[in-house]
Amino acid sequence: MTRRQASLLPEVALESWAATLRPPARTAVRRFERRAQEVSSADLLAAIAGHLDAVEEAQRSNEFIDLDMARSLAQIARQLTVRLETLPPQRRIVAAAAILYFVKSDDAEDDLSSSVGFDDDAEVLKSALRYLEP
Amino acid sequence: MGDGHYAIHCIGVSDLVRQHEAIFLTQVDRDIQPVRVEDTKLVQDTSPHYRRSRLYLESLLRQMAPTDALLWRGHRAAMQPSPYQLDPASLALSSLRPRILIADAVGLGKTLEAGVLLSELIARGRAERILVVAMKSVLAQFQKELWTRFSIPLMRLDSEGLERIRQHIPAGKNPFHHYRRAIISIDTLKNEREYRHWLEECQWDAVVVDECHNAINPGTGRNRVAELLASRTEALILTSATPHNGKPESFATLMNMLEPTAVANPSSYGPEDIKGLYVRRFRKDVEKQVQGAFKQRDAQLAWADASPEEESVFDALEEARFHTLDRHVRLSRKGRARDVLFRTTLLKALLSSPLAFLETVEQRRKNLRERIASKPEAASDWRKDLETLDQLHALASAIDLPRFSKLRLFLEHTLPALGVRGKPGDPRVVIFSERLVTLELLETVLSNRLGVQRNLDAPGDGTLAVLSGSEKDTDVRAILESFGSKDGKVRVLLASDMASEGINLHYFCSRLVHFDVPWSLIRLEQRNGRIDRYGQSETPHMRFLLTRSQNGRTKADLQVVQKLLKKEEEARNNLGDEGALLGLFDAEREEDFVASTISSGKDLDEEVQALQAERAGAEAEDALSANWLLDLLAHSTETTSTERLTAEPPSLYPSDAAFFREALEHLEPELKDSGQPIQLTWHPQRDEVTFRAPDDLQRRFSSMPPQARPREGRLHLSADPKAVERAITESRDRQGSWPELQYLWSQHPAVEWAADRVSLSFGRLEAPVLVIPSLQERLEVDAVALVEGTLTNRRAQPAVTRWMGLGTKLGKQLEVARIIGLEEVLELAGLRGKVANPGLSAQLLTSLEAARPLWRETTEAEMRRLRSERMASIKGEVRQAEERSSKWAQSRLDAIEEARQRLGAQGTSGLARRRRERLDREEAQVLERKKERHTWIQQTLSTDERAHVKLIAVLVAR
Repeated sequence: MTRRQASLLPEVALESWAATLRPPARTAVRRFERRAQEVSSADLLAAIAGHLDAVEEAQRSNEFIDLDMARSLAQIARQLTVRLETLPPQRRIVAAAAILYFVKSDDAEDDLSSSVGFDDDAEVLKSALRYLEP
Repeated sequence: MGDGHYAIHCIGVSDLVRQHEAIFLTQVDRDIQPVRVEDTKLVQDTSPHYRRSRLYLESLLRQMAPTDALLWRGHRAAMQPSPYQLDPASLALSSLRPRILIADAVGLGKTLEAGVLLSELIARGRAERILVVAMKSVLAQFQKELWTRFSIPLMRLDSEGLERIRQHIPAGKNPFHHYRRAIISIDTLKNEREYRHWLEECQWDAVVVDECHNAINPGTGRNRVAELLASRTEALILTSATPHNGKPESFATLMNMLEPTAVANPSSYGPEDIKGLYVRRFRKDVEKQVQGAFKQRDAQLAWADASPEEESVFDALEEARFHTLDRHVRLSRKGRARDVLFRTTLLKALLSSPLAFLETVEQRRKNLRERIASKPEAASDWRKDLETLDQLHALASAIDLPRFSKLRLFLEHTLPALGVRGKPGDPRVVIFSERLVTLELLETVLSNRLGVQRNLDAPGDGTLAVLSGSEKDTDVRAILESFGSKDGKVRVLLASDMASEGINLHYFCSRLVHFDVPWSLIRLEQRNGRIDRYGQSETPHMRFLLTRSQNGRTKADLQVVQKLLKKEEEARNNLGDEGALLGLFDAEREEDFVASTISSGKDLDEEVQALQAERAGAEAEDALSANWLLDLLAHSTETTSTERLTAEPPSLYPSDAAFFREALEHLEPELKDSGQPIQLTWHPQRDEVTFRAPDDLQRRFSSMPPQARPREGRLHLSADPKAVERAITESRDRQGSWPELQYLWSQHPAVEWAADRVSLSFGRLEAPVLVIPSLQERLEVDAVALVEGTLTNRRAQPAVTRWMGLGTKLGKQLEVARIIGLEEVLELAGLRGKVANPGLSAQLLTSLEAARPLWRETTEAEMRRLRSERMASIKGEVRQAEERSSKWAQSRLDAIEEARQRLGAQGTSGLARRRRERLDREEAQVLERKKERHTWIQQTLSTDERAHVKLIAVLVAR
């Protein structure tokens, strides 16, 4: 972690990460500012499981939903949730925001009714992982 | 609903209730029972040769909607289709949504191409509600073509039609709700606010917008109508021979009407964005396919030697200098300013007629006098010009009729050479002029010389008629019907350019005179296209009249015009797209170009080169050039001629006529018993029949145009397309009427009626059992259950329909041994020929009944397999379509974001705030549109995993 990053307030860190995303994702992520700081790991795990269930249900009547992609992303999100406890506040907020974005259905692309529904979630999660790298 | 009760919301799937929505409450509607295949009652059919079952099966086969992109019936309409005419339908059906621009050149048969696509949509149950929007001059023509060749009835909502309709439906009621299939003029729609309100209330399955280039300009009434309709229909067919006016933004408007997420930035897009949305072919590309449908034209230029009085005017024009009346034009955004001298404008007027010249001069004189009176102090230049004009006026006034050289040429040589001598039996001729005052002069002169008379009360009954653009639509129709029928009274037609777009004059006319020559290639071609088009059976004769002068200046000027005519010929033979030759794509700009060339005294070829260089230079600077679009549209789109485009619908009968015949024979006794004898008469050698239409069939015609209805309750049908075409041609001999002989094919209301009647032979939950002994040895099974499995999308439309035969072994080892395709079943069971009916034992029925649950399971499993097969094959396409629209949205959102950033710097002024609000609205619109697109894709393409299964019939060995 660079010295510069270490001194950032969580809100500022979130904003600086959000600025690297595309407009619709960026706007959505900003809205999670408060929740991302308050949500617990347990809540997130539950949300991930719930979202995956919803996707599986939707896939029964819509064969174009990319269930495989959803499952992979859920896996990544779960791993990230486990890491949450080890992160300082200004990085935890970014991770939590990315996971919250995944579990929300009607983000930039509708997860529950589009064949490209998870493209944006993948982008956001990957971007978060990159941000958390060093 | 609580208490164990439910509200069941249903959308109709089967034919009778298709698309209807209903809600049933278990609390109130007590008899709700789900339809279960295992409850299907197996019944005997005791009719000789199983006729009842065969007709029943056939009717169900006819109800089956094709779910592929092949043509199942459009090509079998009453026409001789050339392969190129099937391409637009094929392309539209292959796309996710049937929306297409048919941009074929003038006279290639766009109406027929639209009819083919509409027929395919009807076969798929996707064209219940149709609206055709066209220019008022072609409404009747379009309506007749679609009925006589395709059996598609459109109620004509022109002023006469609306009057009739108003008598039938209550005031204030939406006529579009009442008439599911209608044709109306775009100008009627744009003019009346009432219509807009009604349009907003409706949804259509298919909308056709003819000559859509008239609806391109944003903000115009026509454009608003077109955009509104485009958003309220599933299928959209646009037609235009001139879709490109030089501005890529305009073409993008059309593309976005077809697919709102096609072009994100109308000033900058590429071929990939518009691929698959249009077809464009030129005559030279399809001529090979259509032997004899286009005739070689006989075009001649005729010169009239100017009289001395005319020469005086030419001489005076050469000297004339105007100080205040010249114009400056710019042909493109970055083009240089060009001068159009007023004397060139006057030259053009004189080349039309002396009266036109005097009219133009007088207009200017009046204008100048007003100015001089209002500001006498500053009037010296105006006075000089007025003086010049006065001189010219005096000179031109001396040109009386005998001294109007072109008129003499016209009367003494041109008309007689064309065979027009003022005698009955003269060939018909259409004469064009750009100036109304010239047309008026011609009317007077021709009345005197040839004895032809205009009839102001009944324009179709005169021997002369005028189309100036200001006639009522009913008058236009009367004139066109008269001119286009063998014995119609109108023999001489005087027309202006405004009035003549798109109309067919070629039925009984092959002579055209350009009394003045338009200075635009596009206008020239438009005029010529009225008689030189697909289906013209005679050689078209065109004559161009020009005045020849000894004056050096005038000679040079006229050389430009002569070269222009040469270029038109060049364009026809080589390029195919006249608009592309000058690259201006707009008739007025072309005229300005020619006028400025004449004014400058330069040579036409040199100026064309200079123009092209100018464009090339502008393009090099300007990255957003339109050159690629010009090039693209100057060439034909490729045709998929190597692939098979058509398919044979599965059928138990060799032809529609054979089915119809057997159906009528079957229905005859019951109709007679109910007091409605049909008095059937079949022609002994041909597939031709007359019969009395029973009441329920006549009722089907009540919402159709009156000319389509049975005459005195009788219908006369023929299955021979050639006979029908002959009848159509002959009907032109009898002005205004539609042929009595109608086309017998699957789409004719009578054939549909017959199929509907015999489909009631067995009840909803009944299936006939047929004994086919040969099943045992041919297929090694005891029985074959003929089932239909349907997967529907979320809009209750069939996405996959499959008939299959379940080869079953009965008895203790009950199993489905094999699944057999429909064709094989029909063949092997011999259902296409005469089938013996030996009767059935009750025991057999019982053992068959035991197999029903197995049949249901097997069908459902098979449909699940088909579902995942289908999914695998279209997944890529669906993803691509959604990615495309996401990309579009992303691109728009990026642009909006950029605009926001720029605004950010501007603070919080009222203007900035309003702009921000507008950006917010745009953003919301983009997201809305993207969502709509994705929702549409999902709802239309994704299927519910539960298939609908119907047990149709059971074939049993013994």
